Amino acid sequence: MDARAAISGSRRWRGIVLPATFVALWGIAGSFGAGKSGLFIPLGAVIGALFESIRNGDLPGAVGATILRALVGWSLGSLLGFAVGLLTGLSTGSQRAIAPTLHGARQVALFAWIPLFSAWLGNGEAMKIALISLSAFFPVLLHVEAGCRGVPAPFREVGRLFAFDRIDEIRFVILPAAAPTIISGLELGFTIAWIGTIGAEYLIGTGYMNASPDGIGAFLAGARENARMDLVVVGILALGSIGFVLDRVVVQASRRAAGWHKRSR
Amino acid sequence: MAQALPIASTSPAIEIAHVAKSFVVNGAPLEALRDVSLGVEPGTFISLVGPSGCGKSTLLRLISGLESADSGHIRVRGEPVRGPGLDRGMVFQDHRLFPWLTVEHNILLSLRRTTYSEPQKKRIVRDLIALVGLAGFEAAQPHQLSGGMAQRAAIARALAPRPDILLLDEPFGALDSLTRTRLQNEFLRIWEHEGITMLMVTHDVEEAVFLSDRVVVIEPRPGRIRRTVDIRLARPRRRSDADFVALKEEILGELNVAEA
Amino acid sequence: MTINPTINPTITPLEYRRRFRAAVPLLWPPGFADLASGILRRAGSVLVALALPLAIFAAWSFAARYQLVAPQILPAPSVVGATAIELIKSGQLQSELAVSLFRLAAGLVIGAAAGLAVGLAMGLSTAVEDYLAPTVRAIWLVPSLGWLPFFMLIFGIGEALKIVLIAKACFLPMMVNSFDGVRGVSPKHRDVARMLELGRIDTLRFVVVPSLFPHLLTGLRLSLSKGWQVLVLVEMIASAAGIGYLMTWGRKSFQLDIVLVTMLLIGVVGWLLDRAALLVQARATAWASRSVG
Ligand SMILES: Nc1ncnc2c1ncn2[C@@H]1O[C@H](COP(=O)(O)OP(=O)(O)O)[C@@H](O)[C@H]1O
Ligand SMILES: [Mg+2]
Repeated sequence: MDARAAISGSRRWRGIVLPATFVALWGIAGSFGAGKSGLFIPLGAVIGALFESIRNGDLPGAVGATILRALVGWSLGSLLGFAVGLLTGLSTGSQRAIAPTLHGARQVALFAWIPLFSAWLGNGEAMKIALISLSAFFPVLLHVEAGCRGVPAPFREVGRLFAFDRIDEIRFVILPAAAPTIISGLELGFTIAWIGTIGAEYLIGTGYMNASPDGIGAFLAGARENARMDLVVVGILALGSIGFVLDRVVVQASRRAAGWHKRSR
Repeated sequence: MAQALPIASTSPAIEIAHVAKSFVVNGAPLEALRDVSLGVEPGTFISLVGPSGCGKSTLLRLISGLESADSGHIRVRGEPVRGPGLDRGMVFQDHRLFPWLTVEHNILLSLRRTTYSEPQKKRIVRDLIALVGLAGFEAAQPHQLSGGMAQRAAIARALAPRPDILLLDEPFGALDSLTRTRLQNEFLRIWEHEGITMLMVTHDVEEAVFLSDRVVVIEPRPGRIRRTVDIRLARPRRRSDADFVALKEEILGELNVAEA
Repeated sequence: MTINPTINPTITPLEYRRRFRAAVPLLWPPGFADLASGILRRAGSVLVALALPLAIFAAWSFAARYQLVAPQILPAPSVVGATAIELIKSGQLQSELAVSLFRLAAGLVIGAAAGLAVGLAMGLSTAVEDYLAPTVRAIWLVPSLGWLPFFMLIFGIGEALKIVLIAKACFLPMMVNSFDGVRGVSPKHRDVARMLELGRIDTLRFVVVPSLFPHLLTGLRLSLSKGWQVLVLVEMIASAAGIGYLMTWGRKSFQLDIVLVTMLLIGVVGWLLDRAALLVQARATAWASRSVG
């Protein structure tokens, strides 16, 4: 017991060796004045940049804008994906009519929609939200459709035995049975919507068109434009940690919502 | 609700006449049932036995309305079967409780299309949970129940809409023999209490003789009735009685021929 | 005997159809009815599937014809078609596509090879896994897009940038799948190998590789699709050639016909790449299972 705990403890430490060595080398190299070349940023400078961008409100503002935007776009896209997925999942006719077109549209890489969207919707919030919604739309749609189609026949027969009408069947049998699949669609949709958010912000932020940029994507693009490697590193760290936290939140929430499935396994 | 009129006893609870059913398996037709006729009087307990694949489940599914016959007709209380209805309950071998609902809500959901008031529904559910011996497990999730308990919950769920007929497809098939014997005894008590018509598929001839008024032996390829055996033993029955054992041997003999 | 289901209620539509089918061979040569109904069903579902695209196309033509929308925003289908033909005739579309595909290939080879090496090492040795896994996971929290400005400052906006970013995108699917492949070799099969006293090489050859192989192909396919997505992105942001660049250029010069043509091309090429990968996967998996079994 003790030995096992000790092993798992030492194994956990192994994971830190690489990053720790890296940070140590980084710090040492900085203290020997390797930072003069321009590309190399001493560890201290990054920490300084972090505090600076927090103090002047740039980073918190960017983070807030990105999170808000991601959530709004994800919600809209999920709602739409849910509605269409329900339609194609429940009615074979509409699946035949709609699904091939949607699968065709899905082949176009996500960011390749940006030029078209920006021409139609301008470079403001509408275009970004449209892109983020689109990025969440397809995974949610596909999962809702698959979830509804995959409800085991034995469950549906129980509904028939109790003389359920179609509405009852959807409400009490199909949706609960499909919930775990639908929820993993929402999870995946969020992951992709997060990338879509950064991409939309970044492309607008690079002066793709003249618009007022904000969000972490724009923060990164601006830092690159001004050749501020310290701010680029700060942006990457922020991106990683927020992505991690949001992902955890979404996964935890969905675990709770899909509880019956995991528990009954 | 009006009391059943004396006329009811003259018209059978279930009337199956010249029923045939085939499925298409790998492009070729498979005759699951051929020319099956059977009458079941109200309140009786009938068992169907036969080798697996002989069409027992198919027959139950035809009566329940989950499938429709290719030819022939099935009437329940004189009315042709057009689809599932609350007058017929069904218990499957796999309990088919919804894993996302508690025991209580699983039973409650079966009352969705009935006209009872909410308090009435609550009372029905509470009484049934007590009847099948699951008091205290109202809020349990299906995965927290043992196989026997889940099957009791499934029986309660099938009984909740007050069906005239209960169709049971190997309800105790997946249980260990101890649990099985106990459930058989309890089930007999429920049948006597509710007075409904029972049609049960089973693999276990002893179970069939123990519970039924009549045992129907079905033979396969194509599925048809080989023989029906009336069980005129007094209740409560004892499995070790000579008459009991003789009937059991007789049916087993029929089955061996059917299986050959 | 009546075969009309409306007259004889005991005959269900299914039985009616069965009897009709049974009577058909008398009228037509055997197999004809199935063939004909199969073709009709096929044609029907194709027609249904085409209805929506045709409706969109009609609305588009209508809007363009009557100038409901400015042509800079929505060029007429005929204009888009003409642009496509022009771009192909001049050879520009092909040369941009060639540039893009070369970048994709280079990035895929580097990224997938690195992913394979790391994935195998981590799969075969728990020590390597202990040391590497947390770092890899941390780097992975930041999407490829986030690394773009970092790489841009280091590599500039030349060819190296695109290849590095694509390689980075291709790395993870390959790594994860080769890791899963090694770890997924069933202990039962290993036991069998030990009982048969297969040597290390034979165990590798008959047990590990066949069960690893499908995972590697899955990894490769996912890498390809990830790489294609990232390629489009990086070409849109920092490039002077390639299909993504052509699209951005079309947008900046308000030539939406070029944008639409390139979008279509991106979709079609992405789809073809995935199809091809799926085909290779299916073939190779069949081959692997045959060569062992
Ligand atoms: N839905 C179906 N599709 C195709 N074949 C079926 C279907 N249901 C039952 N069958 C076939 O019909 C025959 C009778 O099945 P069933 O009634 O389940 O037998 P039993 O319950 O007596 O074991 C079997 O050969 C089975 O394979
Ligand atoms: Mg059966």
